Amino acid sequence: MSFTYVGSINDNLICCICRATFIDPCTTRTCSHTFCRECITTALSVSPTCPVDRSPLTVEDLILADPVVRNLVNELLVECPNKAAGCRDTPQRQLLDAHLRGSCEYMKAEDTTEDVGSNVVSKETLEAHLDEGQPSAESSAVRCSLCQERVPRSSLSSHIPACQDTVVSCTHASNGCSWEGRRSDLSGTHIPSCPYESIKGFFAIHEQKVSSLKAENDVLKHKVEQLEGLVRVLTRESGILKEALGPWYRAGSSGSVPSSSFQSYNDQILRPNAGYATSTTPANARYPDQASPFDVEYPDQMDSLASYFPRLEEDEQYASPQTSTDYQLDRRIQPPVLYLPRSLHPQSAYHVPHSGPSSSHQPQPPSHPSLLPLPTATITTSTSTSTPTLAPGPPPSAITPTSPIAPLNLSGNLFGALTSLHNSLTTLSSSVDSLARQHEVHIATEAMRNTEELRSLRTVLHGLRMQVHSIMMDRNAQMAGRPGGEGQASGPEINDPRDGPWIPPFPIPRFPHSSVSPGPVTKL
Amino acid sequence: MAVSSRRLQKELTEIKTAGTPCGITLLKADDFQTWFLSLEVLGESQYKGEVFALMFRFDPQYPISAPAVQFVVDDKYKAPLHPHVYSNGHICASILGGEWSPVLSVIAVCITLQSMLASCKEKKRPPDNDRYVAHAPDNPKKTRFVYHESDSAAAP
Repeated sequence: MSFTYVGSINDNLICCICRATFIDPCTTRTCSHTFCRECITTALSVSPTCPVDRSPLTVEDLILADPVVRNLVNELLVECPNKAAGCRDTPQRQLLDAHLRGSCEYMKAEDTTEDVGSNVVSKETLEAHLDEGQPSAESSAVRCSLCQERVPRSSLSSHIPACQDTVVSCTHASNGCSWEGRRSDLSGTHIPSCPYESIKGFFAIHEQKVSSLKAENDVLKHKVEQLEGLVRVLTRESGILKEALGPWYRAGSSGSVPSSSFQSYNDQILRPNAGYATSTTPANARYPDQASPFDVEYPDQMDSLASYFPRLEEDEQYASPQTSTDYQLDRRIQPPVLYLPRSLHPQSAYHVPHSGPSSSHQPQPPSHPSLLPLPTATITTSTSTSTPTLAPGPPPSAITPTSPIAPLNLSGNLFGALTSLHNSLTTLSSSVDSLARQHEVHIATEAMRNTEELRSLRTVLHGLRMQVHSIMMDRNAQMAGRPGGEGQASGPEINDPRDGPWIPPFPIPRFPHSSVSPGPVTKL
Repeated sequence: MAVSSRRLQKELTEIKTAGTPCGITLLKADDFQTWFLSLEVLGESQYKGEVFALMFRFDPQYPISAPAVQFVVDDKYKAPLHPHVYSNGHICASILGGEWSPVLSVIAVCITLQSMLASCKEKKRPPDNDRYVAHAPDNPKKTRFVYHESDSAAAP
């Protein structure tokens, strides 16, 4: 088994025992040295040590060499052994036997009968020779094993498909015929009698139909997949939309959904903010007939939305037996109807502000008689905040509350609800503005009145001061025997700088500030 | 071709193309049974200027089995005076016996022997030289050498 290699071989591919290129290389597991399988096996039979480093080694420690090495070696180009006969091919070493079996045209028939040892042909090629057929007397012709016909070697491969003695199955095997036999018999005896032969027209039509149906099937499958994907996307989106809409989502089944949602979130109003998990069960338990799965979402939504929505007027029936100690509201929550200032809505109905929540809160001192009470929207779901109570305790006579803000009507559509909310907000803001203005006005008038009073008082005071002064002067004059005449007006300053406006003094002649007798003069 | 022939063919080709190391020359290699090479120790050594000849005898199991190597003792060549070399040319070297490896080659053996000679401090015969030579077999491979670092004893 020796090859003539084309070109120079890398030294790493040489077995160190036989000094030839590796044939069936094996590597030692223990020390990673590679040898030809035959070489190392023989070496180990003599001495169980690695030839390279003398480390202990057994046959069991041999593994197949790296595929890289094997490929490198197998793909080395070798000269065809029939080079002497004229073959110039240089196939890869691994393809040499195939070359000799099939494509080498210089193969001699005598080669097949010769011994391996004395022949350049490799063992594999010899086996191939023997498999193929018996050698014939003619050169380069072999006998087909089946039909015993002499065929030139080069056309042997083309003969096999056409060999009359090959065992084949019926041409209609795909349609169900199970006959098998020689090719010569096929056309001769079987076909005329094959039952599938006569209806082969039907088979063709049927086949065509089936294939077109299959194609259609594929197309439809593809469409279905696409539609399914679309459905998934739409379902997801509609779920998101439902969540976003909250109470305005109408389940298709019932029209009473909004009212039930009211009831369910009324429950939430009365319950402290204990988390959404607990809120679902009561709502569902109370209204088990609500089969819509989307009801589950409502309580969650209600909880967060409840703080913004005023309740309906029917407060009595929604009273829930549940209370909690840390909850600030009274059990009955009155509708937080907003009352607008009298000046904006001149109606005469008087509503006493509900005493319940107001009394529980610390009422602020009344700021102005004309301000109306704005009872609270004291629904709190968070513990810390409470809407401030505006202006409690008005004088009874001056109050005329006005039309209340329309409560939220969830039975309309979303747009309507939002519009009404917006209107309410507008009204509210305008009422707040007017309230502020009124307040200002009131304060201004008050201030003016005070100022006037103050002025008058000051005038009076001034007059009094003058009188006192004159009396004092007279007395002084009398006491001192009239030296000074009238009116030493040195003492008191006429203009008190503490007075606001400069009040012109009472027309008294000014006297120069001379030395004053301090004792009897009193300063005012 | 036997394994040994192929391998020796390769070695021979290699010698002819790549040459031999310094101090070693190929004297005769006509067949794949016996080769002759000459050996000389270069540089400063006990054997300066002396030329020796080695005879290699191969069996069909080469390189699995070690070759039989000995110094040629005839009119022209003498065995070197070395504690591991007997006067009949037989060599007590581990690589020629138990330490032989198929990886080694003729050239490798020559180099080893060259260094063995070069490292010799004292020129003398092995202690049992006379006794051994009297009963020595023709083929040194038949001898079971007992290898010592500095000493050697041979048991035929």
